Amino acid sequence: MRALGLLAVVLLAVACGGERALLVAAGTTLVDSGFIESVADAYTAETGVDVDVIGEATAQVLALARSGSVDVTITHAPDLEADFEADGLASQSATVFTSRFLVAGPPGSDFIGLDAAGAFREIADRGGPFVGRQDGSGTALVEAAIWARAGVDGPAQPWYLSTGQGMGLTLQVASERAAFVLAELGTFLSTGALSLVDTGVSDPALENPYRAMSVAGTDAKAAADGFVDWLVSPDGRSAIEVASRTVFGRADVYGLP
Amino acid sequence: MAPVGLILDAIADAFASLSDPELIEVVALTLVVSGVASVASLTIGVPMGTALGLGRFRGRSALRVAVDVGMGLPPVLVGLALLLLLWRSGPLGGLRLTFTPTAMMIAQFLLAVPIVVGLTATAIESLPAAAVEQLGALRLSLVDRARLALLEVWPGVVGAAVAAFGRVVSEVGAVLIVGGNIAGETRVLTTLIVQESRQAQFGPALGAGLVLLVISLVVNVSLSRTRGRL
Repeated sequence: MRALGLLAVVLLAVACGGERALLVAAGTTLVDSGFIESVADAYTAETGVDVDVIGEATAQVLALARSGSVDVTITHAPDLEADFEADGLASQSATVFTSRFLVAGPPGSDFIGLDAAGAFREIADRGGPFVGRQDGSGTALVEAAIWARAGVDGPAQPWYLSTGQGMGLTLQVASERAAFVLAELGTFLSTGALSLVDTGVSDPALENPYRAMSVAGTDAKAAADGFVDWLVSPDGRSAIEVASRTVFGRADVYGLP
Repeated sequence: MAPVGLILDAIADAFASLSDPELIEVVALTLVVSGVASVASLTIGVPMGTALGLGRFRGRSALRVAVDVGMGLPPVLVGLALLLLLWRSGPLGGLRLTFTPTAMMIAQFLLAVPIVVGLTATAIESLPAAAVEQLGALRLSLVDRARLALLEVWPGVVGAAVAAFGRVVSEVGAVLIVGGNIAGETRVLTTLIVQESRQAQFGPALGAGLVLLVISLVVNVSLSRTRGRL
């Protein structure tokens, strides 16, 4: 009986004791591929600080940060990030790596020579189908901006399929329905069994910079600042490069800014 | 007061979200998918369960164990297995069923069948030995014997129907995997709740949850009222 009591005390100490892990909320795209876990593991190996990563749509990540529920955010929505910083909610912030979006479609589709808006207009002319996320993610915001530039209300069209879910599931639906989709490169490369190709659209609007911010209101502010500082330090930059190579076999999927 | 505010707001928003026309579409699809899956599982499962409960054949106990295991099948595993089968480059890819309501019905059917078979068999097995002997003594065809036995255990069969519908209508893993939560096509109440919760739209999420609860309640009560009535 005493042994049992002792065990309970030890378990309680393990559960509550020590420094709590740093909580990082990142866009689902970064989590779906396993990339950000790989970066976090490198940080833990170097500093001994445990890092827990959760994946949510960018809008949700920033909402969590506003409520002080997370310590660090890594997102890809420049406008929302600027609002967050302008409200004085970020302690440290930096663009830590850059990826890109691609317009993907069924095998054989080719929009070489078109910009993103031109490709979206072409998709509309063909009557789609197009699969969108519409979940408040950075990807969904970029997609909405491209529809606006194309002068087409894509989501209102009968050939538009809205999943309300993450990038991985959305790519699966696009693949199985032989549809077009705005894809985030990392998830596109790490999702298996897709019958989708890069249509070859080239456009600066498809650049996808990720920004890390430590949340000013968190009770782990020092640790959060430390993590963001590390991401832009030589050690952090090298960890990002290694993670991109490890997960995707190439360094430019989440390249250094 | 502040920590409760979030919940009070969500409750207020939940009731406001009930008049959303999109929700009505989602409710309709939920009822169709789970209704079809349940009816199909009863059509197949009740005769199978009766045979399993009355029958004395080789391999019966192994089959009984298999059914019991099937009653606890993890929905995500059923979803995954079905997705693999239906994937366009997979064995049944030619059917083009991935991310369709039909795929969702099949998934729910697979989850419901073992429940119907298992509960029907259990109900039949609960008949007193004397009653079964009496059935055997009557010179009746197998089908008529089965029919008589079923009438005896009618409340048990209704219970199987309630359990099957309750399981599939509240299940999210399988329908999200094979359905994809496409607006207006494969979005049902449970996948809508997942989507809204992930986007911190707690009001609409809670509203959909309330509707789900009401559906369960109505189905449960109306089916239960047929218990005892023949």
